[in-house]
Amino acid sequence: MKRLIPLAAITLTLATQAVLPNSPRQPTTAAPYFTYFLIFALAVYTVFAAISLFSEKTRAYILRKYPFISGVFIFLTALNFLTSKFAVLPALYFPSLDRVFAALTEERALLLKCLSYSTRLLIVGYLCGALAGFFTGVCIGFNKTVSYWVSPIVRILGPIPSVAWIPLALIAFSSASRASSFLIGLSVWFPTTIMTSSGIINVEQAYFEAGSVFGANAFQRIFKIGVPAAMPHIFLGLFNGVCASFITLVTAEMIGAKYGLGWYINWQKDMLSYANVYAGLLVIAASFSILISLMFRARDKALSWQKGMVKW
Amino acid sequence: MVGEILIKGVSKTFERTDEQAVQALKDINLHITPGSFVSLIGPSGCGKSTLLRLIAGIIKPDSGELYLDGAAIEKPNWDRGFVFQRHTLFPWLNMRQNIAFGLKIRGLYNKNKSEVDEWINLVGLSGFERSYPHQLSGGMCQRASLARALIMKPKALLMDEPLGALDALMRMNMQDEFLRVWSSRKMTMIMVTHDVDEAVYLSEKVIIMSPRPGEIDRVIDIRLPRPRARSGDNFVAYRKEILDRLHFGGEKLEPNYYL
Repeated sequence: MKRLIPLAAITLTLATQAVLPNSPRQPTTAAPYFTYFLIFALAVYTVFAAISLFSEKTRAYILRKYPFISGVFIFLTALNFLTSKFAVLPALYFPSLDRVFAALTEERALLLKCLSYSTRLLIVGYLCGALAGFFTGVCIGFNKTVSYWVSPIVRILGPIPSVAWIPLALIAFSSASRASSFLIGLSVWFPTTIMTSSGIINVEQAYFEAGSVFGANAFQRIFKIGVPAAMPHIFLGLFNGVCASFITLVTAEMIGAKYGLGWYINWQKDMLSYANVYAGLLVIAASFSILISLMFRARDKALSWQKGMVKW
Repeated sequence: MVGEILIKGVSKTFERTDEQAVQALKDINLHITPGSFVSLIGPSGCGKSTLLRLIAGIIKPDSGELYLDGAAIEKPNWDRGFVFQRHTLFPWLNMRQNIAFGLKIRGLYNKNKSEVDEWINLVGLSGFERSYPHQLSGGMCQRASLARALIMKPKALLMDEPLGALDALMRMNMQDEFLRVWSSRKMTMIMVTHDVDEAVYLSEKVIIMSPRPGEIDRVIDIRLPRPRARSGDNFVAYRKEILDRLHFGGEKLEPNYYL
């Protein structure tokens, strides 16, 4: 029975969308894209509900999620009333859902291109920053001389928001995309360095002693004991780095990039087409949350030994 | 027979920031014959753990020399196995990987995979290969760290209160385990302990140490046949001799009040 509630919610949204006329203040779209989306959602949910009749796992998932799913569509109904149907909110800044979905559909080629540009920037910048941070952190953690000279520098340079380097980065690098990669790397480098070094410094001495009685050499001490023991910390650093890199990515793209999601949003804002701004935001939300959950997967795999010991 | 340990005039002082330097060991001279079982016993602060760590090479003496089979001891190595008081199994490796750790470090794992399983069997941990240390009991962890040390076929096994964290029954169980390993593999075993019964039950020699500065007070040979009866008369006599030496004999404990 409970599983039918989201179905009712989607049907309600669909019914109001189809029956009530749109406000004349909202520009019309080539097709009722929001209606298409709702029909699609209805179909997907019906399929899942049907599967849940046979699959224990799907049933448990839907029983856990049905209030949330219903809530989402009730919210969409309300939003639809406020924008398309009665235009209570200013139509310029709050476009109808039809227009947002129209932007998503009609501009999909450009959005995909922007997404791939952003992804490339993010991957290059993130990997460089994470590797550099890991390397710096390991050096600080294991070498007192490096720690003496480099830690203060990390502490002074690290807290500067990397977007504050934009003026310098634009001079130092020949292209805007290289400058952006550098800035993203910088924003990842700092948290990774700090968490890696503090993780290694805090590894219990007993583990190093235990390793040394087997004749472990310096390299093995670092990579067989220090780094695995510090892994939970290192992952925290990598996580903070991901969040920082998203911020830097979108900000950096707003200055002098040719494509990219940040550039797209900024450009559409200047054109006053807010429907496209929302479409860009939706793409960012979806892709970044996919990235984050991939990272969670990776962490769960790498730190499976912590299961039952630490709650995340 | 290998595993002869020679300690010549070893002293060790620890600098401490909060107070004066503490002389942990002063002019220790000791010869431990190959294949013997020796216990170090004494009140806290007598330097028994320090002596063990010196033999392991984890710390260096201020003066004096230590030798294993004629070679100077300079740094820790696999030929001196070490069992810590807290098991120090690596939490990120499962039990089997922990036991194989030393072999992997030395690059001998691929040739000796079957040995890992043999040792797991020998210490009675079959079926727990894939468990992580926090999922095992204290006794199981300590048995795993015993196997982890022994798989390297050390010339000497050094144990720092290896059973200190276990309950009494598990402790007696493990003592027999030690004897079994010792008699079948014939290596030198040196154990730091607080437990007089344990020392008498296991050792050929009990070395009593006294604190501030840490010195060897007396060496007592335990001449009892094996297996030893924990409540036999001779056993109790040795026990009393050691306790007397540690000033826990009881003869001074005259009651203050008679009821």
